Amino acid sequence: MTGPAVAGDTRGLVFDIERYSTHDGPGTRTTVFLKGCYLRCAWCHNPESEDARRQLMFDAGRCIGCVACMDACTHDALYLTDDAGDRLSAAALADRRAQPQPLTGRVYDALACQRCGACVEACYPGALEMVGQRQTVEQVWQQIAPDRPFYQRSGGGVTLSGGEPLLQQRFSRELLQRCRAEGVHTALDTTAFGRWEPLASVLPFTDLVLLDLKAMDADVHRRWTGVDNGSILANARRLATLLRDQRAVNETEAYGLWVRMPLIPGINATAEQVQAAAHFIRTELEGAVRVVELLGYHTLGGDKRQRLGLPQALPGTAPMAPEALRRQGEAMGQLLQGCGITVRWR
Amino acid sequence: MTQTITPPQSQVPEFPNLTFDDRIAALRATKMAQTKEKQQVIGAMDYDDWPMILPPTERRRLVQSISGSGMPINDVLLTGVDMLSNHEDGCFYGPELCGANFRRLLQAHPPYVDAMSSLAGAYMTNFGSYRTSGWRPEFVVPQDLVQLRQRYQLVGAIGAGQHFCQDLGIGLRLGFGGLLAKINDYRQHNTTPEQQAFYDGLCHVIAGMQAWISAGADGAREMARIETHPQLQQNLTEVAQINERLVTEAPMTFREACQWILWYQAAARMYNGSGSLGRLDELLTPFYQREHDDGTLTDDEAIYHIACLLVRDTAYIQLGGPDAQGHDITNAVSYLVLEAAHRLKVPSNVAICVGEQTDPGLLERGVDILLQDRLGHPKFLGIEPTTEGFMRNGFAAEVARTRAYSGCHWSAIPGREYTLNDCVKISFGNVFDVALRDMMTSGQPSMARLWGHFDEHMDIAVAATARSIDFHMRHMKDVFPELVLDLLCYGPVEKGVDASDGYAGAVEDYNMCVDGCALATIADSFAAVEEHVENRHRLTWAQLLALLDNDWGGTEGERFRLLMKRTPRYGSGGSRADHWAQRISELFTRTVKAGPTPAGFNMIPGIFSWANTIPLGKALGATPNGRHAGDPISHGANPDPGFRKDGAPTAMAVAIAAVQPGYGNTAPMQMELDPSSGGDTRRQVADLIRTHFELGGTQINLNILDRAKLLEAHADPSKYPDLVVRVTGFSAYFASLSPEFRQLVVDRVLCER
Repeated sequence: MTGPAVAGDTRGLVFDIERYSTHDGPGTRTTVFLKGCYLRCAWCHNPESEDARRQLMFDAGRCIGCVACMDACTHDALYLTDDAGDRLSAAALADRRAQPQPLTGRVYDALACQRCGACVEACYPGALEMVGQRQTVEQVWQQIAPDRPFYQRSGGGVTLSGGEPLLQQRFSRELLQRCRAEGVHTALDTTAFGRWEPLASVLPFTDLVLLDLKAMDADVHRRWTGVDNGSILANARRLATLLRDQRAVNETEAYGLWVRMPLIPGINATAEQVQAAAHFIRTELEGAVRVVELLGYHTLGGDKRQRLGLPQALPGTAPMAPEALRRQGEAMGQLLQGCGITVRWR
Repeated sequence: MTQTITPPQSQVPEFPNLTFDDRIAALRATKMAQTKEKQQVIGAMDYDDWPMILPPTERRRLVQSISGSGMPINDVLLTGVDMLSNHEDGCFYGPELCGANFRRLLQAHPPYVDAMSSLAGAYMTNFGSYRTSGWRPEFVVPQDLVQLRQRYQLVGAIGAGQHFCQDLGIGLRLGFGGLLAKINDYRQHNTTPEQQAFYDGLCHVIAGMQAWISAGADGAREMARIETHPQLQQNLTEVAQINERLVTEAPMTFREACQWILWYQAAARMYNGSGSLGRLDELLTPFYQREHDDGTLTDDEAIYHIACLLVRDTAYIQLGGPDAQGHDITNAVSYLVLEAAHRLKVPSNVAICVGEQTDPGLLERGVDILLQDRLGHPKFLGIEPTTEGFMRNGFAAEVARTRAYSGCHWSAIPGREYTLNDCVKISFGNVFDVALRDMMTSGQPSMARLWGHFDEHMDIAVAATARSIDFHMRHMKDVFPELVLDLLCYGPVEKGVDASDGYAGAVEDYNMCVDGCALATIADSFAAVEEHVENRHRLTWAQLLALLDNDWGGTEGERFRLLMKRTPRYGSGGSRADHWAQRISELFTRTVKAGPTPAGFNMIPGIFSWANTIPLGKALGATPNGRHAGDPISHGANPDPGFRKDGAPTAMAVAIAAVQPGYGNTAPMQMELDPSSGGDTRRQVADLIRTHFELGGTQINLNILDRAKLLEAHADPSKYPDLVVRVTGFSAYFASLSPEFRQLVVDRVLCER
């Protein structure tokens, strides 16, 4: 059953489409990143995914200080201040226009900003970017379609990621449905947070679920992601039961459930947390899970937070050392031995 | 006896039993030392890692010259060779004297024998560098053609050499004695003075070769006499015996076949830079099979002999692929050649055929070696798209399948096809520049009119190129004929005419290469103008022209340059620039295929810029894609670095597959992959290669490069003297390249994902 035909005009807020994605499921894939998330994971490497609205991102390294963006803004959301914090006069701004210089005292008033994109349009070097584009299912499909021969050759397909794709339930369902109708393998990367129904609604069109297990300890989870993990674990159990019942898991790894666990030094990269996760997977999810991936923390999100004007959430936390990651991976492998689960880490 | 050149033997191990791997390691160490010395003496070498070694210190003279591919180079002459002249300009022209002078060079050339190698021979200079003029002055290029070539900065054709493929099978069957007999036989029937002069030239080449080989045999004999290491002494004795035979006889054994090819190839390289070996696996198979079946040749020994050949030349080699009937010829020797390049670990240009009918194991092994060695080899050929494309020129499948990979981005039918491959370039950049200025001088500027002018000037540029090809073929035989390649072609010896003489139909087919360049530069330029001038009116046409003339100077210029530069580019997928790239390729293809040259020679379009990215860039003003005047043009059919944020190889593969001209000549994909991308890299790379070819792609050059290591090597090349990169169709030591060329490679890698 592939369900009713998709009109293709449902819109979603997409913040990136990554081709030749080799980390989000089997084979060569295209990953569609949707904006908006329930969680606020401190280590998130896509912090621009969290807010469910369009966001202005500013790359100071590219800015040439021409103030064209400020001239273009009709909502008073972008302006300059002097050393004392006072707004620059029109005359001073005119000087800047004539003699561009590195931008200091730039103020972005996110409340005043209407996300109209006029500043982005005006920006000569592309230092401003409006993160999140409203796109129809059809528009996204047009960007997915060219790589179809690569999916077929490699056993790859399309992965919906985020953010949390289930926040845009209808769009996600219709996009997955469209891919399925075109014979493209589908994967959903989800936190599984919240109600069961949104997840259930996309499952008929999803070949593989990549479930992110952030931390087994409820307190740790609440502290570092902002939400309780109760619904996540409940949905994971229910999903596993469903997959087992439907016999939707097979030997190729490409169907069923993968569990992905980020390992963050000082937060959840401990033997206890890994053991707890292994115990949960073994006792509650066995028979549904084909692959467990441990994802070592890296600092790529830090630069993006800076461009979004957000404070650093994990200042000073070093990337996960490869050796430590390997140890945890091998430990997880030991704990899941005999379950028919492949353990990988990177 | 001439002094024999032999490398320092400090690396000879003390222990008595040298394995083949020990000897291959010693060959590699010697090559590294020789390369380092060349870097010190010659300086930057922005070309294929030619196997040339330096003449003895007392016989060197540094000169500025033009390479066999038409690029200015620094070169070293072997002194003590007096070249005769037959022209008041002091140069030598025509078959008789080119042959006689080459013979003088070969006779004066010291033989080279390395006790670690099973094969003798190496060359020390380029014969072309003794020529003081590239063209015979009385053959005057018509003035209007000179102006057109200047106006569009047309590259090549007139005076270009080699860039087609001989059939080594002829030589392996006949040997030099047999070739001489064949010439003497045909010269009885072809008796015009021109034909006799041509035969004289060929005979001089053979006499020179025989003297050179004989000197090699003598040198090996002498070295054997004083060698104390039993294995090496035995080896040197065998080298002497083999070469004494090969002076006249055809090779009988696998080792002799390798030795014969080495001599011929060294002479061809020295004469005018030819690097075409073609289907080495097919050529060596009869020798291998016989000895393998007899139990007289192990695979390890065969690999060693091939390595001894490959260390002396980075020749272009095709492995696998169809025979005339369409059956894949991949066999044990295909794997042995691949293995030899792998064990040797020096620059090489071994290419693997990939297709539905081709042994998939060869691709898998090739990818393994690519990932493991990280030396940019092997490269990969889309055998089905190129074969089917070539058939669109009117050739039967049986003919098309015999085309063999034999140069940077090109193939030719061994011994039967003259092509000027990779020697004829039309830069879309200059066509665009002329079109834009032409349009601005009359009427209201618009995209539609710009395209109309571009179309019109493409037509003129292609027509001028066609005339240049005709002009070249009318006269080249009397300038600098193809005496070495002629020996192993079907027709030149039989008819008494040089292969370049298309008017006389010296060889069976004339399929003249015409390559387009600067595709991404100009596709992105069209898109940027459309977006910011025509659609959004951010600047006027007059402003655009003024900014280009001023090379984006001043604050405002830089602003607009950045603005134009951020227009979605060719390769991003579904962009206007992608659309323009396809449209440009279609226009170029249609124009080239509109008809043959005025004299009736077929032309085949391809898209490839080779090392011309830098000189063609220097000859081009600022372009609307935000490129500064003089900066390099884009690389072949590749999108410019930074074409997508994710740098997706699939996006690049789809884009390049969509701009293929489709007549058998290639528009290669140059790709740099990060080895740390994780996952099943071997499968990902193999899938990428196969799928690109399924989509119509024709050739893939792949580098697996560690970004950090490359940056370190760029800052201090001496830190990684053994780092090999595939620069474009060719591969070279990174440390041998000029800073400009190194920068090109670095830019590509920095912008990958």
